[in-house]
Amino acid sequence: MVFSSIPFLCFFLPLFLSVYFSVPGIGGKNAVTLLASLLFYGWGEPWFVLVLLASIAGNTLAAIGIDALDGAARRLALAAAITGNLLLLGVFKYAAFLAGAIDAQLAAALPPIALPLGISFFTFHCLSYLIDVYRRRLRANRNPIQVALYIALFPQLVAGPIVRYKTVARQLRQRRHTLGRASAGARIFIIGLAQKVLLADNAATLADAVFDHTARPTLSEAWAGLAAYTVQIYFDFAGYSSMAIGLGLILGFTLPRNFRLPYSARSITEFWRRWHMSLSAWLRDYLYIPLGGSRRGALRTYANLFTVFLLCGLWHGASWNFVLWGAWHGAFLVLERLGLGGLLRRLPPVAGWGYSLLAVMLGWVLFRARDLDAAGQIFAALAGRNGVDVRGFAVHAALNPQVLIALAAGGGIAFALPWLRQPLQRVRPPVWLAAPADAAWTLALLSLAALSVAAGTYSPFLYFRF
Amino acid sequence: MVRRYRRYWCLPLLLVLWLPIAVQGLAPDSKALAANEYRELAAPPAWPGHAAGWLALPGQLDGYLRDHFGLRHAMIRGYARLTQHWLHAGNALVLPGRDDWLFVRLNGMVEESAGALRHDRAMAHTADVLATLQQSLAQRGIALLAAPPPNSATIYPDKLPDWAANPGVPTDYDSLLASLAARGIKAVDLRPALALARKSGKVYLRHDTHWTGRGALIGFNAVAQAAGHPDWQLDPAKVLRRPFDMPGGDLGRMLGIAEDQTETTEELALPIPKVETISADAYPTYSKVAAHPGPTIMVIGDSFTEARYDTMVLQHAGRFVWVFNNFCNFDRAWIDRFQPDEVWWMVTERNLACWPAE
Repeated sequence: MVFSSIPFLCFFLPLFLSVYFSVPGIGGKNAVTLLASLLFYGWGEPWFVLVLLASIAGNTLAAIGIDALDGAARRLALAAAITGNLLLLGVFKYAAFLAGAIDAQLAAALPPIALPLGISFFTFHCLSYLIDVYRRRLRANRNPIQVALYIALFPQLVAGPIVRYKTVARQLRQRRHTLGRASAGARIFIIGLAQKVLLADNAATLADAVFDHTARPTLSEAWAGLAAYTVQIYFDFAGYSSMAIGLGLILGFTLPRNFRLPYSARSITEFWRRWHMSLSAWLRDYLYIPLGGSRRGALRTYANLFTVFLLCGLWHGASWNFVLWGAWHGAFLVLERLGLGGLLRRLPPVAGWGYSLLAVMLGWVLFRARDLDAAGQIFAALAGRNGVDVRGFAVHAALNPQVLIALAAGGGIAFALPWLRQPLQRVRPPVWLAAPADAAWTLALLSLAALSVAAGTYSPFLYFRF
Repeated sequence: MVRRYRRYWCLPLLLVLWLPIAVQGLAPDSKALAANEYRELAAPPAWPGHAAGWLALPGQLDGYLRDHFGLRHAMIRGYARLTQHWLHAGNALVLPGRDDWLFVRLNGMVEESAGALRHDRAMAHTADVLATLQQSLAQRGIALLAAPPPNSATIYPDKLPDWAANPGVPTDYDSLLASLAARGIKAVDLRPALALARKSGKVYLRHDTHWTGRGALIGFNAVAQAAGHPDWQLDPAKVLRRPFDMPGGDLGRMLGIAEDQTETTEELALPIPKVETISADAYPTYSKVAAHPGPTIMVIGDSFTEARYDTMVLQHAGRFVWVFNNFCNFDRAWIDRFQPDEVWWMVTERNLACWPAE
């Protein structure tokens, strides 16, 4: 089930919230939330619930085992648990890719394996929990419902943010439910829903037209499509994260912030402090630092950074495009450590901003293109190899007022807002004006998003071949 | 300070979230509203009796819930009004043009009319199929005439956005006519007559993919002339009744705004002959007989000829038989049964290929 769908918004959410707030006691609320999370997860493909339950059961027991052991046995238990998690991820997500990398015939011989939704996210949840228990930062939780709820909590189950166990450990046992928190959560949820439905989905129309429906895009088409995708992926991902954070807050959980105006970054290093922050922090704490971080000399630091970002790319998807995308970012991070970062700090802010935005956008080509050939086509088009003007019917049709408004609004928020933030904060309208204006625009966002989601169910019969 | 006022936000939100369930329970959308989609809304899933049924249940329930929530029709209509009336955004199926004209985008139909999407191989194949048909008909003394009705985008390129208009390059329609000529198949190009007739009235609907009564009549006159029946031609001034307002058409429906649309059009005022449906397909083959004797005309066509051509043909012919083209898979048995004197292959420009997509 996805947040921006009628079954979720009009049925699952109101029914769940009503039951949740009717049930007394934290144990009851946890049980209701866990059952709802399993229903939410099983909606698309019911048997994936078994994969999730197996992961929950295995990791609950593994954490208890690790917690009870010492010395080499503790290390061995951790290694076995990590291997189990990576095997689960490997079988479902990477088997076909790895087989293809070895031999195309081997890949063809493999039975098709469907990818359980959110497996990358809940596997990372499990790994952080196990490693933190191993590091004695926390004790293993012996309450299976609480551990299950940590792993399967539906707001963050399929698209993050990646939550550390210790972030929510106390809230799994005791949390506050207040009108103020629920209202703040509702507001964040509405903003996230609007980001996804009104901005990302409309920007996707143009991005799809260029990346999927234009054989040889021209320079202007390629840049327009790339700009649209830059807006789309940000609001898609940040929107989902906001919805998760908002829902979490309604339920009394404080989920970590995942995006902080990433397109305002003035270097790629800063970009990764602002983009998918929960993943960056996870990679830093559970991969980069264990690899030695920056403690073992410059060369090893560069190698560690590059390795982490190669794996970061692979985490996003099992294809060479994602591996290259990770390598692209890793290379810029290394370059910035080699001196580019210092140079950028000495230049005017707009130079660093332009550099990092360009690097991020060109990286999105690898992220979005169907395959490496298609990415090559887009890069050639961006360089002006296919002419300049807009020719494609799909692109022309996608450049309609609805998409252009979404792109202008999305672009304004993503690119211009960081520069306008401070002056805007100085403007303090009186409460009698600010309060109704705030309510009005939030309600307007909710109404527009709801209309858009409802319109998605309109599916008239087509008979144009008659 | 504003935060203090935001404290109660969750209460109206909860009410808003409950609204669709409450309205669905108290005053669900009528079935007539659902009929706008020309499909049956999803039925409630049956109780699963086995494991496979349980696995399929969420998918079925999802489909059911998407079709049955309170205010569904009002919200769909509200969104369509916002995006189509105000923003003229169109969608993947429909391209908004100038002066409130709409054009179908499905399967690249606008691109085909603009000559930007060519299917020369498919057109040659269609010509081959018709050549085989002509050979078989000729052995029985039956004449074949090809007369494809053009797409509205072909006849009204000036109503398209500039980028979608044909810059003067050949299209699939030209390609088919050339292929037919090369195979000795008699064909008539309906485009000049229809383009010329625009001066006297609208020949295609603005909100629908089809031609108007006037357009059908102009097409018929061109076919009658080409088929050697100049005396069959009908005078528009005599057979078209007064213009009237008709509700939104198929393109408006694709955008969800058909209920808000009307457009003025003309319809034929000819006596409607008796129908004799002779097959029970989705688009049934039918035959109609006139009170007077005359030749039997068979039209192999689609929605452009399924109506109106019976009445026009039967002003002079004795029997009219209509057969659905169905990607050239029309049932040849009807030719044996009715032994027509002439077969008119009148498949619309958008359906010229003998297979669904090249």
